Amino acid sequence: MTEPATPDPPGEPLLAASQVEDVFVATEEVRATDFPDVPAELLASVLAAERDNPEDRTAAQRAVGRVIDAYLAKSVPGQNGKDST
Amino acid sequence: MRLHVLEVTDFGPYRGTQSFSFAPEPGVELLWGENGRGKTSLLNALRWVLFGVVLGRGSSRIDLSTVGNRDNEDSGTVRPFKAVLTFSHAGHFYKLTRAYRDESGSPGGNDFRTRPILVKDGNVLGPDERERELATMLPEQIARFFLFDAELLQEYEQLLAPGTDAGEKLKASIERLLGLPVLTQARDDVAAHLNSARTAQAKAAQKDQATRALGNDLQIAADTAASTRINVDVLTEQVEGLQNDVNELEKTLTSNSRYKTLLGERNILCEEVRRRTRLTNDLADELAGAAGGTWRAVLSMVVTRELQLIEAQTDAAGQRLRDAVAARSRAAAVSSGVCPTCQQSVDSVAAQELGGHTDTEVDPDDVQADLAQLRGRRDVLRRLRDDGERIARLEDDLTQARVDLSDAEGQLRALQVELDGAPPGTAENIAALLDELGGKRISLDNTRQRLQKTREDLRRENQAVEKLSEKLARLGTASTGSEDRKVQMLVALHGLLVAAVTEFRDRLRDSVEAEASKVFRMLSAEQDYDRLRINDQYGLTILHANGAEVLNRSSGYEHVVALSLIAALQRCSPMSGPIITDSPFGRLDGTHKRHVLQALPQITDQVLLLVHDEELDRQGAIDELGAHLVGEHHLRKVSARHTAIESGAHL
Repeated sequence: MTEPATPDPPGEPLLAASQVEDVFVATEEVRATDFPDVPAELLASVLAAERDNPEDRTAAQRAVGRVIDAYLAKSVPGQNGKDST
Repeated sequence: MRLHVLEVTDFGPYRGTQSFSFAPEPGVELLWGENGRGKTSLLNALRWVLFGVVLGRGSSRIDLSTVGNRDNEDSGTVRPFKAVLTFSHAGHFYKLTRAYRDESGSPGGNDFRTRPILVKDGNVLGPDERERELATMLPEQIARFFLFDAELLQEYEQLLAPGTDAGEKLKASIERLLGLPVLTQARDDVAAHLNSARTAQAKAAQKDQATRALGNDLQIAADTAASTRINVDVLTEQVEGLQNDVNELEKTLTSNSRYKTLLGERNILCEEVRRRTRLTNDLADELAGAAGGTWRAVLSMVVTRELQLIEAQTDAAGQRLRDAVAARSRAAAVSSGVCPTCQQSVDSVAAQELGGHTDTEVDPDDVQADLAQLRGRRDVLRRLRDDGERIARLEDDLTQARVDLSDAEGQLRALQVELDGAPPGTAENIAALLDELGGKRISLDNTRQRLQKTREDLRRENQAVEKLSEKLARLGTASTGSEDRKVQMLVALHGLLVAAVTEFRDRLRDSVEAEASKVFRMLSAEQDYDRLRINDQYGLTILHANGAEVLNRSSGYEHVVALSLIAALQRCSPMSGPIITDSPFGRLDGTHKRHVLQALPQITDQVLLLVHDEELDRQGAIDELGAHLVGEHHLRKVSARHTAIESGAHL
């Protein structure tokens, strides 16, 4: 596999960097063109949550939920996310 | 990932503990070994240590109890074995051990288990961390792009046939390799959160008198959709399970193909023997019915001669009768002066002339009686002759039928002897497998239909939920304000991810097509073959310089295209790694072998080719690889079940 310049931090998915980079680029272009109302930061955080949990679907879904709730709580005061997923 | 050392203990033909050290520098290594020496076993040792599986023909999994070395053991004994792989990846050093050993604690016990141990930078990882680490480094689903043989290369043809299960699985593996799951899983997870958000929206609306009714409707619609969604998941799982069962059964039957063919032939021969037995019995019965007259057949020649005589006598008697009748008429005409036939008078001259013709008086009645007797004897003899011919014909037919029956029975016995050489119960097992396969296919078809219908139901139910949710949001009440905003945000995010999946897929296909075409042009010896075109499933077709698709490509070119795809995936994927391939040149001619050797160092920086002398000319390989050839090894036969791994080419 392509060796990165520096080792990934412990616990980090080993193949994540360039993988997510490609996905980020493609998805961000779609967002900027067709979905400008979706915040870039939210999209990036959701993809990062998936990147960090590639082999654990439950953990990934929980992480995405936390990202969404955190974003809502930050963007709309008083919204703390009552998602029960 | 870079492999350093593979150590095997009693794995297949490798008796004791033996090591294979990979060259430290980038390039191509060659492992020489005759057929049966253990090249495939070495590839399997890597599969085993990385994924815990050992593959046989048709990618079927081999029973681990048969893998351990049996050089000095009874073939029925289960033997432990082990493989240890040291490798580095992303700046870390790993030592992965996988052992198959008896854990019963007693000598001669039979409680064999697989035990993996992963050490990362000197620290032993726990089971969960170990599995997560291995799955993220090199998931089994994408192993085929790194460890492959000619048979796996052949499977890429499946990508050209849309809708096949094998093609769908390959497509999923390719997309996994290319990193698409990050996006598809994000899409699915956001969809799940959107469903939950709509349920929360319904509950909030139910608390407000103004929106209660709508909230109730949304709640019911959301619950219905959730229930259907569960059904879709269950049915999808069932379809996958049934498809796996069908695949496994087909593989098992394929591995028993020789006996399956013999059984098919035996069934046809059994039917043939039954048919010929019936025919023989029918003929024998018919002959027995005619047996009372068998003596007639014996007397056939005598009867024929007698019949000829009687027929001649009958003809003569007929003539005598006609003469006697004429003489009687002439005598009557002379004596009465009137012709008894025309009733005209007969004058004296005519009477004198007729009187001159008067023969010896013969009584026509006597002749008539003789003739009747002769005709009776003639008819009897004719019947005798016909019966004899029929019996003789029946006897001939019966003899032939018995010969044919004997032949068929002989073939059946020979076939049965071959089948007797099969392991006990093979015939019953194959019959049971065929029955089971038929049942599973029917279940699979039925479940697929139910899944399709349930998906359509879910689509309609989701639309109903969306409409109710939108209606609620349009009311803009304070009671659902925060839920409305969350739903709205998730709807937009989900729409974005759906679009992004399509966009990213298109980009991946474009990239793979472009890269595969580049590699293909390097590998191909046919100047008129211009490039490759990719389909929705990542299947590749060759395009002629004039843009026309090349139909019915050769099996050699199938491998060239498959190698182009693998190279493209290595180039397009973040998961590039070592390529270890068993007998990859079998179908390639000399020119294409040279092209592949030239291209390999450009595809990835660690390549191990498992080859034999007939497949690859060593001097030619050295010339083509040049400085890229970084190591040679060979497999030396110690005994039929013992192979030694040694450094350097075997000269």
